[in-house]
Amino acid sequence: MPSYLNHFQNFINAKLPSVEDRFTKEDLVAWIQARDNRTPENIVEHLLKRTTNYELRDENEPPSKLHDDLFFMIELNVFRRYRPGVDPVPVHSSQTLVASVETRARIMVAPARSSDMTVRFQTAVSALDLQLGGRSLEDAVVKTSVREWLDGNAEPLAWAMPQGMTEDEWFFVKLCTEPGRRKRKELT
Amino acid sequence: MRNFVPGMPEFAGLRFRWMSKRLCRMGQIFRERDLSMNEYVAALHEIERNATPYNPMPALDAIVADHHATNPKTLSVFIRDCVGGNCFPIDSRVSGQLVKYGLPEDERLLVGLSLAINRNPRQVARMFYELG
Repeated sequence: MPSYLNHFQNFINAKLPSVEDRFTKEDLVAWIQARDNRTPENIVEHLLKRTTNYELRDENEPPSKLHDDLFFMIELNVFRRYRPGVDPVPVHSSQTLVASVETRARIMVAPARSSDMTVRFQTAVSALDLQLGGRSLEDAVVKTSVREWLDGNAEPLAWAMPQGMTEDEWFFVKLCTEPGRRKRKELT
Repeated sequence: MRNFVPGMPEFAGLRFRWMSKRLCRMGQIFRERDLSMNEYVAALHEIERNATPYNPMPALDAIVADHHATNPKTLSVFIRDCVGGNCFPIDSRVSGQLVKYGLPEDERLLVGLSLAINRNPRQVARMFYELG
């Protein structure tokens, strides 16, 4: 096994002596980056692959194996060691969808909301939260990039300039005439 | 913008016909209702205050009805960034993520699901877009 992957077991040995010890992805990223020059995104992907109740742990090749059953996600961005025989059976791609949905429902969603679609949606949002690494996409933050786009970092339209238009009018015009350009500018 | 009417020579360079049609329809709405864009956005704000779990995106429904739109993506982005209303714009990047997670391309359903898990649909939609 490559030394990089040993870091995950080494992290358990060093930082999680008790089955109740908890950590966040930031804790793990900091610990591994002190020992290996990997990106946070790469480390988080490996963490999720080793999280037994993460539904999409087998999205990448190769899929998870038994030796990857290391962690258990208690709630969003709170992990601990996986406890075989106590925690639900790990999700692996060989399992049926029904079984994995039941697992997720027990873990991640309140019973009153545990419809299959809600569970699937909650799982997706949790995964995106983790992948974004805490980056905020709230309205107030994104407003800045929208304003930059409106204020002319993009090429101006040849036939219409913003003079005399309100911000919302100009936004609507550009939205209707340059939707592709906006895709590239937004959220960069 | 109230002066936008069909056939303006300035529209000649636009790539698709729907672009000028939408601009002209916006101008027509302003003229017919004697509204400015600010007043129109304020009216949409007011409509959005009536949002309920059973009617989660009334402002988007209103502007879609105003424009007789069959593809509301552009209008959805307008609601997201100018009105701050409930919406979940779906473009190709968002669509790819929805497929990945086995979720349907149903904006109303996605808004409802976001609200059901106590998340802002606009922010969740941006997450899907950003990682698409």
